[in-house]
Amino acid sequence: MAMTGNNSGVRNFKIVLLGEGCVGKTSLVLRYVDDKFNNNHISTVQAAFLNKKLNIDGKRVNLAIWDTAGQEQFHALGPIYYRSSNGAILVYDITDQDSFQKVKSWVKELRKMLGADICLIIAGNKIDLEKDRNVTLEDAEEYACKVGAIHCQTSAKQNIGVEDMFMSLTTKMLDISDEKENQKSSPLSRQNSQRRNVIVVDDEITPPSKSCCGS
Amino acid sequence: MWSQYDENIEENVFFKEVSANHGDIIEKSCEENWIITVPREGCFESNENISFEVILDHILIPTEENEYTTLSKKNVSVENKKIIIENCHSFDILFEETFYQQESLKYVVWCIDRPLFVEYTCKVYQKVYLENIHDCIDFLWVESLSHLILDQIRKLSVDFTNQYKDFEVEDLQTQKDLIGRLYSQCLQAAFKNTHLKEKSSKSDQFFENLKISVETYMHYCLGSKLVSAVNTFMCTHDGWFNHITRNAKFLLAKDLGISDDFDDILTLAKCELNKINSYLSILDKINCLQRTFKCFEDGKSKTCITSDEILKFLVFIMLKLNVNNWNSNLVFIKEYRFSSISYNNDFVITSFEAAVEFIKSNNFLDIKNNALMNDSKNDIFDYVRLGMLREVKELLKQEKTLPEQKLCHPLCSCNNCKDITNTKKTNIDVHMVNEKGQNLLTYAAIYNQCELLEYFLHTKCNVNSTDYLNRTALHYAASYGYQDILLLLINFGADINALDCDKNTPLHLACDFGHETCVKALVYSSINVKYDLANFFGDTPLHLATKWSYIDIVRFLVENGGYTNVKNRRNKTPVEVSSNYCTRMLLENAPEILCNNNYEIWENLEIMENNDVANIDSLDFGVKPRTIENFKKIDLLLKAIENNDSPLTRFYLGFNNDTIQETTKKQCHPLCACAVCITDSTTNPTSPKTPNILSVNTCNPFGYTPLHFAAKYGRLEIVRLLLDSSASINVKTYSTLYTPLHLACLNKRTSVVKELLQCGNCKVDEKDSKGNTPLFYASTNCCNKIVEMLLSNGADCNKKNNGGKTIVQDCEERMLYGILNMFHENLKEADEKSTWDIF
Repeated sequence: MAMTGNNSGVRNFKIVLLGEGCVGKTSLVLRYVDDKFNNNHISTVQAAFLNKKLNIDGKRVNLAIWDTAGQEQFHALGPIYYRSSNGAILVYDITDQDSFQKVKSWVKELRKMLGADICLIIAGNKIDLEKDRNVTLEDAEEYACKVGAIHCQTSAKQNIGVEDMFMSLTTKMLDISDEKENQKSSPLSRQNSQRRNVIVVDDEITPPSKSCCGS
Repeated sequence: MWSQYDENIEENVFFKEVSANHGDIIEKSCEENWIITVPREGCFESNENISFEVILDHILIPTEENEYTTLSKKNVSVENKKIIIENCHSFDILFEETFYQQESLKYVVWCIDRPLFVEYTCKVYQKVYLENIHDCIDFLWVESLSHLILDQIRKLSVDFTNQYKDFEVEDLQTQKDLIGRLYSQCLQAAFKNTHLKEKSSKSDQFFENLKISVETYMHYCLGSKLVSAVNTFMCTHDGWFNHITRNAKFLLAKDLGISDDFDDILTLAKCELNKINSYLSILDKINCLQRTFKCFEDGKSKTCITSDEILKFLVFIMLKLNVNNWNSNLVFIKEYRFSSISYNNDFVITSFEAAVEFIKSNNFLDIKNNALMNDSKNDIFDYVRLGMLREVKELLKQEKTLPEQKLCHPLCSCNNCKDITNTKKTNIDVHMVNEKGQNLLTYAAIYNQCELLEYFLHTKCNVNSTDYLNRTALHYAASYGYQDILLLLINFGADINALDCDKNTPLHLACDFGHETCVKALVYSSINVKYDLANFFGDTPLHLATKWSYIDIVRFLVENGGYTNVKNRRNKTPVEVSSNYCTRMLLENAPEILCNNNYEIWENLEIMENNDVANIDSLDFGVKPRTIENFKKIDLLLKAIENNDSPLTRFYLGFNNDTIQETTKKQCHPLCACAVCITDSTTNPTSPKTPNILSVNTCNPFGYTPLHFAAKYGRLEIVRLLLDSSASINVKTYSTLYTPLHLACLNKRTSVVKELLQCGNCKVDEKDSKGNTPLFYASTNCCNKIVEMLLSNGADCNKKNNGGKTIVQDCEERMLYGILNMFHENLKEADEKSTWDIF
């Protein structure tokens, strides 16, 4: 089902959150949508699926934010969750190098399965724990640049960069969706544009990235 | 999750008024995080009704968590997506929208279902979104102000059902196309109503609702037809899926890593989800899934429910529920949806899909095995479970070497005697049972320990010992699908029709858990297995196999004598339990004998037998079996022939390879029909006659002898075997009067025809009930080779059948010139011969 169905001017974007367990995926969404943060999640919150409606300069956007199953035993189910998504937020914990490696493998998988159409955000969460940092900012930004993703630094706890991150993702998705719209309306558009977009990401290939959100 | 309502706020009369004339409020909202509430479209007809006071009432200033004051200084609170005023009036917040302006300024708008603080009487206050079939019917009825559209949709659906009788067997794409066409017809019918058309063009939301309600009502009218079509398409997938879920039934929540806190949630969710098959439309099914999700949300436990948790919950519930068509339900929801029934549901549906995929991947079987295989080695049962034969033997040996000590008297409790009783308690012998009442043999069967089982069988272990559930080892072997164990147990005389506490036989369990191999083993290994026993719920094995869509098992049972007309406690026959076309057809087309009560037939036949034994034993027909046992046996024998199983055929007929060779040796030549040979062969093969062995000419209730079957299915080897053992070659079936030659010709068994004709005493021109000779069938089947053989063996092509036509005439009518040529040549030859004879 096409998520970018454009009736009555609303754009529906599907965003998936990927990343190892305990990196703060759920906290990020909860902070963004409900502006809440729970250290120990006192009340039951359903955080697997949240909706957010935005109106950006008169453009109506509906974000469907999907938290994916993160446990290793469910890894094979990934494609069911992230298929036909417009954006993905890959979260790692800046204090945990392994979680960053995991992000790398997700990037490869996503690029392989969904091509260049999907907007990627790589988010280093928990910057409130700067003193325990294990993944250097330079490394992360360099990698993000290399694979054409936007790099963000966030703290769900202290509400740093969360809204900006979603904002920059949304604007990028809007750009792509506009571009597509134009392609469709222009008579020269080629039919199977989606096919051509499928690329395989090696570590070497470096599609140019737009800008990093921090700068 | 927000409701499914959506509207463009910028078009809203109230919002326009605010943004056009009260820019200062919006500015302030950005700075102070005020919230602007906007009553949904249609609450105000024009901006004339919107006074400044009303606007002030709708601007909320946050004070504490979930507490707000309006600009007009009134207090409101927010709870569970509702605005509550003075603790009594509540207003639904339909959705929240965040407006971003330049310089990252933003403000939040809540769309609410009616204005706050205003005596509000809406002329048409209807539900803004549709949830189930009732909403849809209401919508169509109220909006069109008549039942005309409903009638039209129903009529179209009924016509559709009548027109596509075999809709179920179409492939998915065709089904979708047909349903899609029907849907557009229904939609067109709805659009004939000018009122609906007008409203649809004005409001997208209205148009969406119209589409949804038309589609939903259409599903409702198509009823089970559509559901059964999808079930049919997915039945093999579902059968396989059910096999997995059934066999993981004993998995506990904690095996999946679900904590006890969620027990309540799971129970509630189970109740919701169990209803899924009572709904016929996609909308209702989705709604059911959503309510299931809602159970997860509403739980009172104190954790955050993430996708991982949801997945685990769903997997667990699906394993436990009695729903037999998850795949079909998913395909139905995903593929047959034409209107966009809110994309909010996509996540719900995807989660279910993920759960189904996970179950299919069978990953949790590892979990199951881990749960079974903890490594503790405390007593002999653990050794049995782990298959440590040597240790078990040693333990048992110890017991035997212990000297028998006697108590002073049976209830004595002196120190000496106490010691003895204590050691006795820990004593190990083959008859000991565990806490579930299972003895060592049963325990070995449960854990698939073949070697140990064999060892216990050779000791004095009781094969039929039952545990506290009244289950024998055979029950467990059948329910876990251990064929080897099953066969071993049967071999050692396990009671094949033993009943457990729910009155299940092993066959019930094998059918329930979908173990085809075990079903076959049970049926083939014994002629005493009963198919028609009903368990506690009145279900026969066939009911169970049908229920879980195990098509192969259903087919097998039907072919082997499952009773298709037994009703269970809910007064349903297997056909009525069946959810898809495939199994239904299998059951409905079951051979006639199986639909009647077999016992009656036996009784009738026995009476017949007593009345005119002479008639039945005459040369024309096969021999009636004398006992009920033999009746069953002849069925098995015919089955074996059909399956070309010559060892089994020999077994049933009671001769082994040696006797056959002997008889063949004694004959002058293999096909000799001289007096000596015939008498030899009639006496010899059945000479070691035991009462249990079937004679070669035994027939089933329709008069089919083994030779008939062998001829029909072209089993050349068996035909030879039977002929060699003096099967009478010209026997006829009862009503149709077929000889084996007829059947061979009908089924184009060239080699069998040849074999039969080579036996000197085969009657070539025997007529069946319609007066047709074998030659007739051979020629109408265009088997030139057979025709040629028959003619050269003296078949007469001028024989008339009951319709008064000769075969030549018939072939002329059918324009079979090749065969006609052969006839003419044959006739010419015959003429020549006769002229020669005259000379």
